[in-house]
Amino acid sequence: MTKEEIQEKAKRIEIIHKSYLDKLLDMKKQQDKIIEGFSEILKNKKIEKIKKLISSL
Amino acid sequence: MISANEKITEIVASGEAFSEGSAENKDIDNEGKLGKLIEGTLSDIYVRASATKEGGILRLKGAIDSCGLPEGDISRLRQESEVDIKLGENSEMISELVRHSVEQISVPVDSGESKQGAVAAEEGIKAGSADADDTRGARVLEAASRFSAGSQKEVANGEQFQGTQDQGIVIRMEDYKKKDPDNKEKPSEELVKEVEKVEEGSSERYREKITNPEANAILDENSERFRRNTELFKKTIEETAQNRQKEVEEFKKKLSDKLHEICSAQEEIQYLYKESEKIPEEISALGASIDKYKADIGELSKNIFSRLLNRNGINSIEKAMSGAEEKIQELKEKNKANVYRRQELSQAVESGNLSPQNLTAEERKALISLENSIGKTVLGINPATEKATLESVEASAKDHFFGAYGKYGEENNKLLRQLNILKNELTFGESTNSIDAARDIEEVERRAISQADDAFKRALDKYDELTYIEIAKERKKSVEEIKKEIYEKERVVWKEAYSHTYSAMSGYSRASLELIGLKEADMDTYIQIEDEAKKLLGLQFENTAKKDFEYARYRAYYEARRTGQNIFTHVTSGERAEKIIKERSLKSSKIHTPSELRGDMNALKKSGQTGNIEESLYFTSGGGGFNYGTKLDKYEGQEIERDLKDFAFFAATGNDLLASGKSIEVATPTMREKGESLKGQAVGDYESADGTELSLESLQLIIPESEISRYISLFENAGYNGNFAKEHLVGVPNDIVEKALNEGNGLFLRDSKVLHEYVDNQLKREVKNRSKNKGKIFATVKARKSEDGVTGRATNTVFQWQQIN
Repeated sequence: MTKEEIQEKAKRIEIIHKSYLDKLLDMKKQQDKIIEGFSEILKNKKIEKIKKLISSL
Repeated sequence: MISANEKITEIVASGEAFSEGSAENKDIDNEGKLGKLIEGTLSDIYVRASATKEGGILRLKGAIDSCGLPEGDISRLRQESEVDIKLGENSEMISELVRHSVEQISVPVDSGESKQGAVAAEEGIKAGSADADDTRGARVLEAASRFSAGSQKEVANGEQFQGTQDQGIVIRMEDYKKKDPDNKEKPSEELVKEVEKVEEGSSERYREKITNPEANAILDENSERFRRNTELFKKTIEETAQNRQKEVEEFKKKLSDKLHEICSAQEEIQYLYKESEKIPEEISALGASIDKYKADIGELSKNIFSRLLNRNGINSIEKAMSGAEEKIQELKEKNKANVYRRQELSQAVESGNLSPQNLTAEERKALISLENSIGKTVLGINPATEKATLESVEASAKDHFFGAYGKYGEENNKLLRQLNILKNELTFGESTNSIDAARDIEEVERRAISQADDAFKRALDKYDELTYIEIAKERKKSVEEIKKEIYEKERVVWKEAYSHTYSAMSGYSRASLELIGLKEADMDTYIQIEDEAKKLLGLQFENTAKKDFEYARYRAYYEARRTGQNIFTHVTSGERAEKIIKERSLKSSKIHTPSELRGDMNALKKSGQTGNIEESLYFTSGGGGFNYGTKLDKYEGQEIERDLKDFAFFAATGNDLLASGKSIEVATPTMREKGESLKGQAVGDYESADGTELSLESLQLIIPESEISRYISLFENAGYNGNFAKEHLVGVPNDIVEKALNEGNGLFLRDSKVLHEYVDNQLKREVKNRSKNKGKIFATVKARKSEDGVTGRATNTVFQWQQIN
């Protein structure tokens, strides 16, 4: 490979890697969103339980 | 609380940290550095993906552990919320992103090290572990293994993301490929080069050999017919493709409509989900209001005593509290209704009640798969995924309608048969139109190829020692080298010729005039139409290459020449030879099959046969082998040994037989028997009424040298002049006769080695030299369909040869 080809390849790798990082971050955000949503469900359930407990007192 | 582990994973996934080989590297100017960059990038990709996934698992676990809810509640909420499915899908997307990125980065570069790293990484993804000595590759591999092992761990540790496997609705073409075993042995590169060398610059070389106007007229007619039939075929296949395209569009539309219907339903479900999610919040808010009101009550109660007479204030608070309770009740009812509606819609989607009942079973199956697929991406329906789904639908529809095992598999096979008939017609002419071989091409091909080896061995047997010596002398090589060369060449050529010749088993096609005189333009047309048919039908099969035709053509020309130069012999006795000379011709008589003769020689006698099959035309087939025995002799178990006076046989070249208007079948007993046993007709019916009568003009009579004067007298007495006897009598030298007699203790042995050697090395040359048809070349032009009595399969029998030069 010539020097130009090597640099071209390296540049391409950088682009791919950057794109990978962006996409991975999106996916992580999506993952966080899912987990946060579920955490909220758990929290609400917990509140509901507590309220029931209170009302039964 | 966020754990330390989780903190790390978040940092890694956020792009803040980057290990060695960062893409920020600006000084990549040699392959070593490039390899290092690749290694570092790959490693980083795996590390971040693993960290992201593991972080997700930890966070989920943390949320569950900290909520303090009973296990049953958690399990139910997980199921209801589908949190595991959603996370599983996200995890799959991350894996796919890794695979895609690694693939892109691993596009080979000419660096040993980086290449190894990339390859190791790829292997790592596939296997999750591997052995690699290369240090860099090993490091990447380690990251890949961790990544892969992490994915496996997700499944194993009970914290898995429960993603489903997409079954899809694709009818895969691989299935068709599996059914199409292409086991044809390809010629070696060396042989291809050799043949190319022979063929180079002489693409019309074989046609140039065809100088006979009659032969050329046949070829022109064949070419014209091929063109006509090609047009018809093109029309058929275009119409078929148009019809199918129409059906595909309709199919696609139906599925597309269903997709939209489901999407709408899913959107409604999502809306209700969101609505229902708000309710607990509202309840909570109201709960807080109640608390506030209660606090207010406390506050107000403090003032009660100071406002004893002011009842309006208390009434106001009671009213407010009553309103709040009503609101809570109302929201609870709403929540309940939403839950019911959500369940109702989910059940409707799951049970397929949303589908119109008029869909076919196949469409319904496809739809269910589609629904499953959509069900997987319930949260992610957007223009991008919808497009991808529609593309998948289109691909499935195409496979469904075009694939070999799809709706039109049978129709495809029919068109392929037509295509093959077209090819047959192009290469072997009109006579093969009616071959039922097209009925089951695969079977015929399989049989033809399996018989290629046997035929090849037989073909090699036909080379006598003298031929080898002659070729070796001409090419200035040793006989052994020539034998090896011929062996290698023959092996491949036979395979090629057979694999492209459905009627090869009959022996007819091997010397086809049409194949020898195949026009370049017609060859191109066929290859083009085959390609078009393949695309239109959506089938995968290997195209016929021009080289395939050329091999077969080479084979045909070779076969035509060799048939003409072969020596055919008819073994008889002195007594029979005398009778034949008197009658001035060799005549056939009714031949009975072995089963007819079993235990009843009277039948043979009644029919005019005298118990000796030699009276009929009986040549050893094709090779000029010397053979006293006949099929009947063998059947009866008789050993025939003769004395000097009884030694006599006739011989002729293939060209001599063909030039006299006979087909080669006349010299092939198995063919005659086959025809007779099936049709109940006398041998020779394939030719004209006198077809089984062979003039002595075409034959050489081989006798012991010591018997020559007696035979000259016999010829003269039969009306032949002295020259005729001289030209048609071949005397076996006395020393050969003596040796042969010594070998058999006074008798000629049936398998006399001495005589075999003489026939192979001297007699054949003599008969060839004497032939008046030496320079002629004959090729087959017509055959007749008959049926193989054993297999019931249609086969061809040649009944016409054409001189081509």
